[in-house]
Amino acid sequence: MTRSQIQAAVVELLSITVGRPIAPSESVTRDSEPSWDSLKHVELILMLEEQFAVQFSEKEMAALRSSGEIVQAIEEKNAT
Amino acid sequence: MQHSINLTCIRYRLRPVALDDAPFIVALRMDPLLNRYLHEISPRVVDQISWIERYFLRPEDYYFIVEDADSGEPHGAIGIYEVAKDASGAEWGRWILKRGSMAALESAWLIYEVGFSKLQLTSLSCRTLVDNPGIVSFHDSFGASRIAVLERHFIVRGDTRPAIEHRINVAEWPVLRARHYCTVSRLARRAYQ
Repeated sequence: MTRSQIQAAVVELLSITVGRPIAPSESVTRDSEPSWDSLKHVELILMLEEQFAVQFSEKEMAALRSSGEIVQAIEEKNAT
Repeated sequence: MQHSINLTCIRYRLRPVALDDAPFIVALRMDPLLNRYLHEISPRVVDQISWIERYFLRPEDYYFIVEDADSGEPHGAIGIYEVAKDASGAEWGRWILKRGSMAALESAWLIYEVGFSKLQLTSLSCRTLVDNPGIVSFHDSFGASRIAVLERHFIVRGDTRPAIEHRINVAEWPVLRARHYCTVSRLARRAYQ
């Protein structure tokens, strides 16, 4: 899976999470998006894990605070 | 009050607060990242011990430590108070979890379960500072209804701020209980894999 494919899928799931359309180029962070709360974060992570067949540790889950960090983390997991 | 309610969900449990928990509570409440939206408390452990001793004497006040169900490691605190005389409703709050804790969903689930299953309440409300949008959103996402905006409700660092009140009624709980238990189970399954 290419970075742009991962990015597109992350943006799609993130749009569901925050309840608004997100542009592929848009950088979204938990701090800038109040509706990305801790409950929705858990739901997002579970969706990402299912979609990309990866698993995040609890430490990693807590550290993922932006769309860019999520894309990077999935890329790294896919590479290993 | 000195209650004896213990309740475990999957990975976390609620147990009654004890005097020995005072240093942990003070450490949490003194963390600048965690206390931004909370009433200030004294930084002295002895004052927290006195507070807990007074709490023991207050009827219908249920204060808990959120802890890891396996290791007993404390993750935070949470409570139910302002219980109506006819048990028709109460407020929950004093909710604080240490940095990086994943106990938010399970501890919220547990406090509603205590309120509805153990205390037989008909509704549970919580009040959140409007300046704390992440937690306001959490209650929305959890399925609680926004009931009111309470002007001048909180005093935080000398400033009077409004609160948003959310509520869940007992009739709504079975559906929300099942929905969130499902998420908690999925999360727990991964942790034990």
